[in-house]
This record gives sequence, C-alpha cells and structure tokens, in this order.
Amino acid sequence: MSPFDFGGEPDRLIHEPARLKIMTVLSVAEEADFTYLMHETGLTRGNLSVQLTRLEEAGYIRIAKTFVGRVPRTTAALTPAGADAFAAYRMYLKRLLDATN
Amino acid sequence: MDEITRTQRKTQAYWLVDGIGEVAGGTALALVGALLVLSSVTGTEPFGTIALFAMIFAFPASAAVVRALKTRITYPRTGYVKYPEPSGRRRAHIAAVAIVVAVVVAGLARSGGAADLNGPLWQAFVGAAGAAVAAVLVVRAIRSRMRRFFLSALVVLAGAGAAIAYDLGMTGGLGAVWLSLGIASIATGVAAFVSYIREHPVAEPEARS
Repeated sequence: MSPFDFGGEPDRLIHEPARLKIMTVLSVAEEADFTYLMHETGLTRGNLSVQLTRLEEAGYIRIAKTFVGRVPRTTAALTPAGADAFAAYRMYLKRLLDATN
Repeated sequence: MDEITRTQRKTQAYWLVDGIGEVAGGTALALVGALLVLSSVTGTEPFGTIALFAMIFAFPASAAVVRALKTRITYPRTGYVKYPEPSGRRRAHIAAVAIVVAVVVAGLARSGGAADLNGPLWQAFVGAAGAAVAAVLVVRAIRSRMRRFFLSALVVLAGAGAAIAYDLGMTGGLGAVWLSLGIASIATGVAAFVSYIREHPVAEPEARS
C-alpha cells in the first residue's frame, strides 16, 4: 500500500469549499433556506444557485420551493445519499489526517 | 476544532443568535419563579396555584411567541433553519434524567425530617438544582461559543445561594433559581437581540419565480 493511499479519492463534488460548507450546514439541519446558506457560504445569489443545482443533480440534496404567507422560500435538505457521501468524505479526511500525524 | 465541526456547531447555535428564545423563555421562567417565591415568602397558597397555571400556559405561549417573532424578524434577515427532532435515544436519556430526579425528590420526601420544606435536605436540593442549571448553561456557552451564558450561569448560582441564605425553603428556593435564570435570560437575550438587529439588516427577499 502506497504511503499516499488514503483509501480512495475525495468526493470532488463535496471537496469544493462552497459545496463543502453547504453540505456541512445541512448535515446538522433538517433543512436550511437560501438566505441562511448565502450568509454561511458568502456566495452571491447566482453562485449559490449554481452550487445547489450541482448538488441536487448529483442526488446529494433536494430543493423545495414553498411560500410562507406571500414570501417565497427555497430550502435545501440532505438526501440519504448525500448524508452517506458526506460521512464518507469525513472518513476520508480522518484517514488523511491520521496518516499525516 | 476543525472547520467542519466549527460550521456544524455554528449552525446548531443559530437558534440562539437573536436572543428571542431567551427573552420569551426567560419571561415565562421569571413569571413562574416570582410566583413561587411570593408563595413561599407570603405563605399564601393562591400564588402557588397561580404558579401552577402559569407553568401550564406560559411555556407553550412563549414557544408560540418565539416562532412568530423569528418568522417576522430573524428569518428575513439571516435565514431559516429547521432542526431535526431529537432522536429516540436522546429522548430516552432525557426521560431517564427526569425519572432519576423524581426518585430523588420522592426519596427526600419520605426521609426523616423532610416534612419541613425549609429543612437542610431541601436547601441542599435547591443548591444542587442551581448547580445543575448553571452547569447546563456553561456547557451551552462552550458549545455555542456565546459567552453570555457564562454570565447567566453565575446569576443562577447567585440566585440559588441567595435562596439558601434567606431560607426560602424548597418552593421559594426553586422559584428563586427559576427567577434568576429568567432575569438573566431576559437581560442577555435583549442584549443579543439588539446586537443582532444592528448587525443584520433585512436581506433582499427571494424573487418570485
């Protein structure tokens, strides 16, 4: 086993910093809306939309559009596949850190 | 602490960021606590009965107030987060703690000299209750990285100490713990709310699509 073999490659979809932050937030929330995710990631509205779309297309999150009174609300939540992928990504990071300590 | 854990903790603590829960919950706690202290100090039973009704209605009412205020004030500013329901395991832990406390109280009630609610056993129980509440607040302060909960813990300990020093007995003592927690929560909650409003103007609403 090569010293650089950390048990596979990191999930590059999650590995990108903005998407990692989105997945991290959703890992402890049942759902979070667009405004909260914008605040946490610091992304612009358009950029956040792009990142959410990529995660949705991969099946990692599901997006719901609802109304609260007359105010639209877009929320995102992890799917079971997304939760598994995030857990696997964290395991990969742990193996990486353990190997380099 | 790694960045992932930091972000997770921050999201979990988001419920506390605006202070609204503390103000509403603190008001209910202070009301019930004040009634219990009055019941003990005046020896007048109606205050105790009113406290019981306040317990039944004040907490659900404060929860409804929190939901309404967050919808109008917090969510338009910094967004909405829904938290998962506690797991079955966590509910079992909470139930187990409640059962242990109930068994301890029942044991104290049956032990010798416990008929006097001003006796040393009950004073010790008040002190333990104050210490337990303070410990929970300290843990909250550490996990949420919100130092105001350290201050609340100190106020609760002071309240429990004052209750013991002034011989308020069990009813008044527990009332003093709740009252001090309520007052501390209102004060820290208002400070947090003012700070939150200053830092976060209303966000641009989502465009209708």
